Amino acid sequence: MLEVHGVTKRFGGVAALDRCSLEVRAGIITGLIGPNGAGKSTLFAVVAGQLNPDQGDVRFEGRRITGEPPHRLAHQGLVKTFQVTREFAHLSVLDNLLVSMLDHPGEGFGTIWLRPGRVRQAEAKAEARARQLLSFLTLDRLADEPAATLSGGQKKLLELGRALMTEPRLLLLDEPFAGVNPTLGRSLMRMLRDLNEQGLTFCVIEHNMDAIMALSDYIYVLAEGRVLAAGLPGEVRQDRRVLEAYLGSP
Amino acid sequence: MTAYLVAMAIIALIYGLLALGLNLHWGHTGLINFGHVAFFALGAYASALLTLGGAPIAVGAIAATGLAGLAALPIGWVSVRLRSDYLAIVTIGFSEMVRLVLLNEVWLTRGPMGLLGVPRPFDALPTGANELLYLAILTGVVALSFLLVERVVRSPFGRVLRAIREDEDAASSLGKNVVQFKIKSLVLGAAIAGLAGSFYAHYINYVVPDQFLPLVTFYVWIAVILGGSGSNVGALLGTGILMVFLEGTRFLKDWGVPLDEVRLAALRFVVVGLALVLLVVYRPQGLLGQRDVTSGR
Repeated sequence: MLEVHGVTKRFGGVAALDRCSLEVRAGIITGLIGPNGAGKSTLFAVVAGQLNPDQGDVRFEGRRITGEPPHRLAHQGLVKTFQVTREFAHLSVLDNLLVSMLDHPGEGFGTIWLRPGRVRQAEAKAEARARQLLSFLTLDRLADEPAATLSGGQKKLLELGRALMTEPRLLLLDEPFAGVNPTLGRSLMRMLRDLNEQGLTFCVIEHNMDAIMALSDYIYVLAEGRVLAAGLPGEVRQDRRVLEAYLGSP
Repeated sequence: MTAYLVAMAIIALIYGLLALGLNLHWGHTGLINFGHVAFFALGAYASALLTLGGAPIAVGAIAATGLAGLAALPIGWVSVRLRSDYLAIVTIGFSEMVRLVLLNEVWLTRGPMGLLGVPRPFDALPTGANELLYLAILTGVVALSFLLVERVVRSPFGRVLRAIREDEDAASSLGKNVVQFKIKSLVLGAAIAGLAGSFYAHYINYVVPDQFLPLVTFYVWIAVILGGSGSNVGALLGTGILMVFLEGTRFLKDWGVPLDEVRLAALRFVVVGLALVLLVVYRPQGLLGQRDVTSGR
């Protein structure tokens, strides 16, 4: 579904990504782990169009998407969430979701005046979907609160909800469990599993080893800008190179 | 006294239009536009030149609105790659550029001499009556502009503008073409400022570059911040309060304050500046701050 070919990204003299290649297959949850500075978030930023790679290219469903801006990728079904949540702080929780719907006719300047009926219809549809998502994310009681008032964990859920509003086919999640308490984490895990069963493909960066091992169907280990190892969670856990990368060589 | 109040109301309403436009830029989209006066100036000169050339005033007003809106396009394109603070520098540069062009392109604008005898509507009516009629029409235009921006900011379109104000990277990653939305916001706010320029030119009856100093931009900023960024009612209210203050202090010497006009003018700036500082520190949301506005449902 997503193919990364030989992507290199340098910041000054440091290569955050060094001819990195990997593949995310449709229908499964792919985990992405590695020590700090391995290039995971940089890879996500390159894939989602927020950074241009110096070399290499990225394909999404066979199409070359290298360098396409994020808003175009979102329309193709590829959306990434941020490691540090980026909620629209002064908008209500509900508006955070509503604004995330794609192709809302009410966002056309002309349509507001010429087709008010169509705008109302789309708005009703968006609101129905948003409320459904809010109850799925257990945020329904907070719908009218400004997003700024949410707790850290709730903001993570809101970030996920906004991304889901765009009805993506591939969702890149950057540390969805960071700062989320264990109870919320377990229900988040269940949600991701549910969504995956409904056909949504995920690629997830995570430092919480228990969570990522339990969640992923396949795992890539990144170190120093390249893929160090790849395999099923059980295999990767046993891999000596991975242990060395995390714990230092003996 | 009535004539004075009418004159003051007309100027206040013209500034009210400027504030509505700037509030769309800053209050809703988060664009730091420090060059708002440029759109005002372009509107005033466009309307003055056309009507002096024989066009009806209505044509002048429409052209003023259109030209100011078009002038916002290059700003929009330039700002594509600029973050907020750099946009501030570009816009203030743009407004000074416009003023210097008006000052130096003497063949078109008569430079520092300005354009005199800009036609005034309803000249056949007796003085007083024509001003009242002007005030009535201007009030109608301000009301319509208010309804227009209100409808825009309460629509899903306005909701995207606020999302961009809050975090443009997040808006972009959620599929919004941030540049296009910013440009639309810039053009609409600038067009309203151009319309304000036309009303100004036909009311004052002459235009000179000195009327369009950056000070005008900052008065409008003060009005928007005072009223509460993001609130259209606040933008109008803030304009009203600022105008009453600026004009009202003229009468201080009648009440026995021993200051001549020059010192009073200087003191007025001090007080306005101080008020702005206190406002930003103690009540940054202004009188009717509505940053938490929800879209109309």
